[in-house]
This record gives sequence, structure tokens and C-alpha cells, in this order.
Amino acid sequence: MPATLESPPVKGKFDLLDWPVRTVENWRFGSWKEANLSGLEPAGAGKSGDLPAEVDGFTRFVFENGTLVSGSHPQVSELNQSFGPESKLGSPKLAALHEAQSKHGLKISASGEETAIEIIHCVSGDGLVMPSLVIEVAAKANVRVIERFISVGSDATTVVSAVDVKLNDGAEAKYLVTQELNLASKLIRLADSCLEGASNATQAVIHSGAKWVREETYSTVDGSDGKSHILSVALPGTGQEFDQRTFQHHGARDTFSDLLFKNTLFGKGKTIFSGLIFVDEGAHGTDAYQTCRNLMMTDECEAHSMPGLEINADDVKCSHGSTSARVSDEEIFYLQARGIDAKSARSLVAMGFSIEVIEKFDDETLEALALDVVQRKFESVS
Amino acid sequence: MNSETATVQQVALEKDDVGNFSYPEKHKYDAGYGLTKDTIDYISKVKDEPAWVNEFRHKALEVFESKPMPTNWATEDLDNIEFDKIRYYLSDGAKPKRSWDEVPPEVLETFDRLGVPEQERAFLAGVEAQYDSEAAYSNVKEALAEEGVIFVTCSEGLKEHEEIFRPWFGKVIPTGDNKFSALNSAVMSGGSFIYIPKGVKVKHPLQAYFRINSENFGQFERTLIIADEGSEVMYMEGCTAPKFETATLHSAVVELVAMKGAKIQYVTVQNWSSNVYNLVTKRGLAHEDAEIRWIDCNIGSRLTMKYPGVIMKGERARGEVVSIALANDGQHQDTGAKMIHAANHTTSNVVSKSISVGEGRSTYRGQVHIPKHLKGCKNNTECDALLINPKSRTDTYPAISVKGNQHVTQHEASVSQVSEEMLFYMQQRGLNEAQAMSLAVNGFINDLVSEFPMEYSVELKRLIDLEMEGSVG
Repeated sequence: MPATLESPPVKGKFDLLDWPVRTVENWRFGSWKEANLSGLEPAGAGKSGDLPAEVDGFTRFVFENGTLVSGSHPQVSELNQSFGPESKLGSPKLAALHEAQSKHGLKISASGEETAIEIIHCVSGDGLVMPSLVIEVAAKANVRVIERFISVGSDATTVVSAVDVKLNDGAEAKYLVTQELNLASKLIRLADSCLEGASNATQAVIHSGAKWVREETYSTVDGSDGKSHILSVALPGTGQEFDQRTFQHHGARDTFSDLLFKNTLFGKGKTIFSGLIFVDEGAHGTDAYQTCRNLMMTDECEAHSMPGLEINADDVKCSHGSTSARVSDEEIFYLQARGIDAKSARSLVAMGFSIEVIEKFDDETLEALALDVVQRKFESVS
Repeated sequence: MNSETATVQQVALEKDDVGNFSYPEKHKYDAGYGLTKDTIDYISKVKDEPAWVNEFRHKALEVFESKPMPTNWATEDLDNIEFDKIRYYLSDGAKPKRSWDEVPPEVLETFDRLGVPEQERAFLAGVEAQYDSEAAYSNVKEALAEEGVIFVTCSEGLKEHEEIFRPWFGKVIPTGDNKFSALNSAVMSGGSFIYIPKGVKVKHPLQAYFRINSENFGQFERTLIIADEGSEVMYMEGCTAPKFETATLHSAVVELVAMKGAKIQYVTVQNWSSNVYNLVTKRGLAHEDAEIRWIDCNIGSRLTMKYPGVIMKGERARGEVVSIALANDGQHQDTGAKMIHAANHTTSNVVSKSISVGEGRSTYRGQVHIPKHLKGCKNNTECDALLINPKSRTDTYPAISVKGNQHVTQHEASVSQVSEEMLFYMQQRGLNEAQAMSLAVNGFINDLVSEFPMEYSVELKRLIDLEMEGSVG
């Protein structure tokens, strides 16, 4: 018998905290009411669905709601409780919910070269699914991880996912998340990463489905010469809202981070981007960049951008930029002059806009997978 | 006392002797410490205000008391304001008179180095209650009056020009806009009311200095400027010289209304002494084809929170904020801009440059709002920050909301320091490190400084040099 939120097994933190409210700065422009999950119970047993094609070289793990139905790898172990995520970007209640109730997940302890793991979450049922993922990369090790969220059927499932990525000196990680939930479901994703020493991480998300997404990405670069790349492609249409909050924390000298978020908005789609580059006192020699671009495809879409900087050291190079515009008439004209009709031309330019992010993965397998998700979304909206 | 200040005092005395100065009665009106309903009634009584103003003040007090401090997004330094220890109304006569001996020597030195005219020094230091400018500007005033320009204090405006004043008063910035606009509405005194009739283009910039026998830089000044169809005006407040102050809270409200095709430029140079909280609400309403420009320079104060805004209500209206901020040790310049697009084909531009010296902190906070079903709105925002020392700090928090695909917005911000190569290059050519730094900093803000009227920009450059002194080398 699954416990309800009214009587969680771990009392304390969760009960003391409040659901997000409008006045919290981290929820500015956001649909804070969507985050109130009171009354929701964990979803029961999951269903099996059609799985996407296997990815070459990757070991596949499949979850149906809270149950691991397939997959094994010497460097991967199963979690039966939450690792205890923290939310520093406005959702401590949701983090506490995960801590109290998450019962499944994986821990990847990458120690060699070429570890490649694919995790598929098939979710169903009108309830909560709360997976955990811990990725720990040993010094000089190298890992690639794909995590996919897929709805089975048309239930309104609420996914609360928490991720903790830790890289040791000289480690390298590429981590791609694709979200293709149905338009009744919600995703709340709390993603933390910490880079020690001269490590290099690329984290990317592709948001195609879901009614509402709240994603909090907190990247800490704590080691000199650490490099964090944070990428996102979001493609909301009518009835979809993607609320992404990011934090690029530079805690040591000579650290690097680069964030590129591109949103292509269709129908009445809505996006909220709030990012902050935070440079600690003494973190001199920091290079930090943050760019959020919104491509407005219709007259009814809506984009909010809050790119922020807090700089406490002087020898730094930091910049952020945010733009919102539509496909320019010149570009359309150029393609029309070459025999492509206006509609295809617009979609061609928009695809190119997303592909600029995907090319930054610098990994053919991950790029092909991401492109496939993007292409399918474009086909469904046009 | 050095000979310089002695001369200044002598000049002042001589002028007094010939009867050019008229001092109001000393310590005549003082509402005491703290803010209650009685304080408000006292102010209304002293100012002999109509009943509607008194009622307006009382409502504002309720709003002020009911609103929380905005510390959920703003600095917690706000909690250090002790509202009970503030005197909310002192008429001119009651301003504590100072002697030259009480004015800190560094202020005097600054006057010297900036080349402030001696007549102005006495006023700026607070040794004199007023700055006598009648002789210098009487021609200007005459010309203005002939064209039908109204340029009076806010108190005079609401009494003598109620028919023009009242329809717009509190309309651009309603009392409940924020806690400090409510405070201002409750205890406002000082400030200007300006009305420019249709088609009149005022050639000379108007300055608060010009007004005679008025409370010039009030703690809670309230300014309303209405530019009627097709008119143009430039208004300047403040000055580059440090204004020596003992009051610690300044909370002004400035409302601008530009009717069809009108153009208003509002220039501020803020250099309050570094114990002052400067919490200001400034907003303009631009009708069809109108243009409102805020040109803002913040150098002084302990904490400044000021985000001049433009509501572009009519088609093709234009809004612009040009801002320079310099934050030195112990200072936080929290400035920015608000651009609300409310009609088709409206355009706005924000250019903000800040310099953080020593442990100073400068913040840019901006809002751009383009609602649904509008066409052809454009916004450009640029903010650049320059950090001089290892403990200097800068923050940028813009928020841009765009609905629909017929608009273009772009926002860009950068943070940098003066490069070693640049300094080395200049040092090779015979400048010392401090000179080289000053040249680099002046280069950084040069294009913005040129937006200020000429006499201001000359003083500004000197002032920035002065502030930078000792921070390098």
C-alpha cells in the first residue's frame, strides 16, 4: 500500500516546508500552483510500452514507474531510496518530497573508459513517479549517460526526478536527457552537478513533451580548469509551459562554464528562463557565459527571460545575452527564392536554430538521438 | 578654517549684507521624529493644503504601513532603516544650520577640485538654506513665463494649478506601486511641478536651482512634469558636487507625462553623501509618438535603489534609459530600468554602465514587458560592468517578457576589468598606473557621458577621477 503525502514515511523536513508561493523570487513568472502536489499519491505498478530503438554501444536500463524491469552493468547499482536532493532554486518542498518518498533509481559509479548507460523511464498512472540518478565519475574516467522520460498511455503522471552528478579530477561526462512525456503529464527535475579538479561535463536536455516542466539545474565548478557545458533545447506548443532555472556557480580560480538554451515556441507555448552566473570571491580567471534565445513561431507564444550575473571577483570574463525574435523575412525570402515554400522554409530555419545546440554535444550518437526527438516534434507541430 | 572657505563665507555674508538673501524663520516647522497620522496632519496644516491632499496622504500612510519591505528580492540592508528615527518634515527654516567648521574637509576639497562656483558651495554644504540664482537666471524665467510654461514647486502646483495638476498626479506612479512610493505620497514635500504648453520647445534645460524660495532637494520630493502635445523639455536635478547631508533617508517620486509627440529628457546626477539611503521611484508615461529619456548618473549614497521606467502607451512611443553608476567602498548602486510596451511599434533602449571600485557593489535590475497582440515592438538592452579591484562586486538581474512573434528584443551584458595590456601600453607612454586606469575608465563611460549636458559631463569626468583616486597602485 503506497503511502500518501498526508502521511509520509519520513516526517519532518517535508511537513515543515511550504509549497511554492507567488512571492518567492525563484518562482517569478512561473506557475507556482502547478508545483503544489498535495494530495497526489505515488503511481502504482507501471505498464510496459513501445521502447525506442536500442542505441549502439549503450547498456539499457528500463524502469516501469518504480520497478526496474531490465538492465545490468558492473558499474551500475540500484538505489532503493532518495540520495536527498537539495533545491537552492526555489523548490525545497519538492526536494523534501523526493527525499521522503523516492524508492527507486540508479547509481552509476564510472571508473573506466567508455562507460555508456541508457536509462528509460516508462511512466504511467495518475500519480507520482520519483526516480533518483547518481552519476559519480572517478578521476580520469569517462562516461556517457542517456536518460529518457516516456509516457505509456495518456495518464496524467507527475514525475519528480532528482539527479546528482559528481566528477573527480580529470573525469569527463556527457549526459543527455530527453523528455517526451504526454501532454497531460508534468516533470519536475532537480539536477545538481559538481566538478572537482580539471574535469569536463556536458549536460543537455531536450524538452519536447509534458504539460508543465520545472527544471532546476545547479552547476558548481569547484576545481581549477573545470569546464561545465549546460545545454537545452525546448520546443513548447499550445498547452505547454517550460520553466527552467539555472545556476552556474564558480567556486575556484580558472573555471569555465558555458550555458546555451534555445527555445522554439509554437502555438501558445510558454517558456521561462532564469539563469544566474555566480562567481565567488577569489574565483579569479573565471570564464562564464550564458545565452538564452527564444524563437517565436506564432503570435500567441510567450517567453520570459531573466539572465542574471553576480560577480564577486574582478579578474573575470562573464557575459550573458538573451534575445527573442522570429525567423527573419530575409531568411524566408532567401529560401523561397530557391524553391522552398514559406512554411517549409520557416521550419527549416527553426530546425537549424535547435541544431546549433545539438552540435555542441560533440558526440555523434547523442547528436543523432537528440536530432530524432527534435525532428519528431517538428513533424507533430507542422 | 582655510582661507578658501573663509572667502566663501565672506562672500555669503557680503551678499546677505546687500540684502540678496532672504532667510525664512529658523526652526519654524519640524514634524518631529517618527511617522504617525499626526505627522501627516501637521505637514498638511503647515503647507495649508486642500482636504483632498490630506486625504491622499492618509491613504498613502495606510498603504505604506501595510506593505512589507521588498527584501524578498532587494538587499537586506533595507532592514537597517529605522523609520522611527527619521524626521519626516522640516521646512527650510528648520533645517539645521551648519557652520563651515562642521563641513568635512574632504567635501570642501572636492568642491575645490571640481571647480564648483563659490556661490553654489555654500548652498551645497548646507551652510546656506538656499542657492541664490535669481540674477543669473531671471532672463530665462521671464522667457519661460511668456511662453506659458509653469515651473513651480509641487505644493504650489497642487494649490494653484489644480486643474492641470490633479488629473495626472499619482496616475503614473500610484501610491500603492511600492512601499517607498507610498511613503513619499504620505509625507511628500519639495519637488517641482512643470507644465509645458502645446508646441513649446524649451531651449534651456530647466534646473531645480532656478526655483526661488523653495525646498530644493527635499527628503521626500515629488515631481510632476507634463509636456503637452508637441512640446519639448529637458529637466536636470542634482549636481556633480557632493551634497552634504545629515538626513539618512531620501525617497522621491518623479512622474513624467509626455502627450502626443512631446519629448521629455530628465537628467539626474546623484551624489548624496555615503550615509544616505536613496530609494526613488521614477516613471514616465509616453503617449503617441512621444519620447521620454532618463539620463541617470549615480555616484553617491550608501544604497540607491532606482529603476526609471517608461510606459509606452501610444503608438510609436519611445523610451530610453541611459545610466552610469559608480559604487565605491560601502556603497551599493542598485539601479536599472523598466520598459513597459503597451502599444504597437513602440521602441525602447536601455544602456547601463557601472563601475565597481574597492568593495563597492553595483547592480542592474531591469524589466522589459511586451504583452500579447502587439506588433513591431523593439527593445535593446545593454549593460556593461567594470570591476576595478579584487573585492569589487557586480550583479545583473534583467527580466524580459515577450508575447508573440512580431517583436524583437535583445539583451546583452558583460563584465570585465581593465586589461593589463591596456594599462601597460599607457604606462609605456609615460602615464602612471592611476592615470592610465582613469583614462581607461573614462573611455569605458565616454559615450554615455556625452549624453549629459556639457557642463555636467566635464564635472562628471573630474568626479570619476576623484572617486577612483587611491584605488589603484
